[in-house]
Amino acid sequence: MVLTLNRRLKFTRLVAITMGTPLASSVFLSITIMVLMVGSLINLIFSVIISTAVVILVSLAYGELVSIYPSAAGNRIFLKKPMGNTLALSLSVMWVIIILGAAGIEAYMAGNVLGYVVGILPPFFWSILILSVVVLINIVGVEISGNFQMFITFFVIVSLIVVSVYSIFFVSNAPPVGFGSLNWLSVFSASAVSIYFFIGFGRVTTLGEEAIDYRKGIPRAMPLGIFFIGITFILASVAIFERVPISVLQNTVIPQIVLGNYILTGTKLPILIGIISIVMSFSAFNAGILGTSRLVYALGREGVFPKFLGNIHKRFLTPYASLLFLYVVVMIITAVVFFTKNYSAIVLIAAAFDSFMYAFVSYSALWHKRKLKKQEIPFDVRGGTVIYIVITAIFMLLGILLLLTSTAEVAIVVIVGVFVLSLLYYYLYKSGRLGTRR
Amino acid sequence: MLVEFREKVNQNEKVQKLIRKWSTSVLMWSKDLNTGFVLQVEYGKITEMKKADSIDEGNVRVVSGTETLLDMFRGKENIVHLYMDGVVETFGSEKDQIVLDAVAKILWS
Repeated sequence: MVLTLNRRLKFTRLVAITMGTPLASSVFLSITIMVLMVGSLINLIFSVIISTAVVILVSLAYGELVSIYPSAAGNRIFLKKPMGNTLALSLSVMWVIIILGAAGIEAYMAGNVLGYVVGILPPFFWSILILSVVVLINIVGVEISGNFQMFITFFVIVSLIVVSVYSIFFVSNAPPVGFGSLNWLSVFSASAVSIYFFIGFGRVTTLGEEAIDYRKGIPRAMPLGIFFIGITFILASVAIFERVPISVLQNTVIPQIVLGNYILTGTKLPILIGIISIVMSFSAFNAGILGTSRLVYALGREGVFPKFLGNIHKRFLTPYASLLFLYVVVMIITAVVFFTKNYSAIVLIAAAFDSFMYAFVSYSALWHKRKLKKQEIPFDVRGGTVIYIVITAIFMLLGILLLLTSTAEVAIVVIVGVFVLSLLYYYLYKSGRLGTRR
Repeated sequence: MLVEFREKVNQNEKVQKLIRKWSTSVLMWSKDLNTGFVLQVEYGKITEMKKADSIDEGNVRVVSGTETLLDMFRGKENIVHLYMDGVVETFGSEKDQIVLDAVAKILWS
């Protein structure tokens, strides 16, 4: 009985960890971008349903790979055999850069929300403050208990669902919005953007915790977590689409709070949404910064990044150098976003790169399926071969579509970024500065 | 070899300064032999080494082939390379894994 309860608790925690990183308040900015581009409610709903479905399918690929390589270095090791060391490393480093960009957007959003809810300081200073707090607690090594994190994640999910359902079905501040007409180009373009909803769900595959069941637990938890995220953000997107006028959305960076203002003017609901949003930011930051700092530390130790990033704090035994490095980089990105007021480029870059990454991971799962014996794959997805071929193609198309429909800077960053990193690491491997075992 | 490793850890000043507050148990498990050892660490000192009964023992678990594990203890293999290459599987809290790597770095760098 106790054993069953423990197993359930562990599985529930895995689902919560899957949802924890993507559940960031910067998702509301991607919702704004989507709402501005879809043109109709039916396009919006279809686009999120499609992205949720394809991300659930790619999570099966992650599941197979993590069951083959438990406790491994995530994407890097998943991609290494099918794509080669240089490209796998370049994509992993690019991934770190994308996560830092997303963290910068998250800090931007958190600063604006705190500026609205608390006031006193300008939003930029709030961004610096929340970033500083998260980095400090990570340097000191304060660990937030798994159960508390799980509670926060489910609190945020339930709160968002309740607010969205209330907004959609019980508020009538404006004439009802019809479903409108279906346009598949708009649907797929918006689907590519909504890939951002799920960014970082794969963090659960790299935790390396002893209590985690890599062979069955993680592969089964990921699709469930993604399903819950999909449902939550379908509702949140529809609520914002229905209740917040487009003209207002174009001029706000806190759409979730604007939604609160529209559905219950004169009450404390916008403040409550602000608090939920801050909890989301804090939780996503903590997960993102913690996970990325460990990866940057390992890359520093390996010589891929500057060696000093592999230093640890003598008293707290934490990778303080990589944490401070991340702190500085994220702060610069946040400052640039505040200065330019252009958040959409980073959201689109992250969504596009994520699409390509999912395509590569699906391809990798397909490669392993063909090369390994069935008994060597503990989590073997039935019909995986067909699924992975289809998913690889879909994500490649979504990524290309996003590059074609975005501004040139998005395509330049994604393509040039990967190309330059590949050249750099190819040179480092060839010259013998990387890849030696000592 | 494990005895030699214990002496190195317990007598190295830098290592001791770093891990003086660290207490845990580390399992080294050989996949090909299906056997392993547990190192008990108390306040930075390896106080006990015993044969493991199963792969589920230890707060931190390092799992790999025998040759790889031996090369790790001889300082011929960089743990981070092995981890990043997926040659070793490590399980345990991230903090414990980082400390283990830091010890190896001091001993063999």
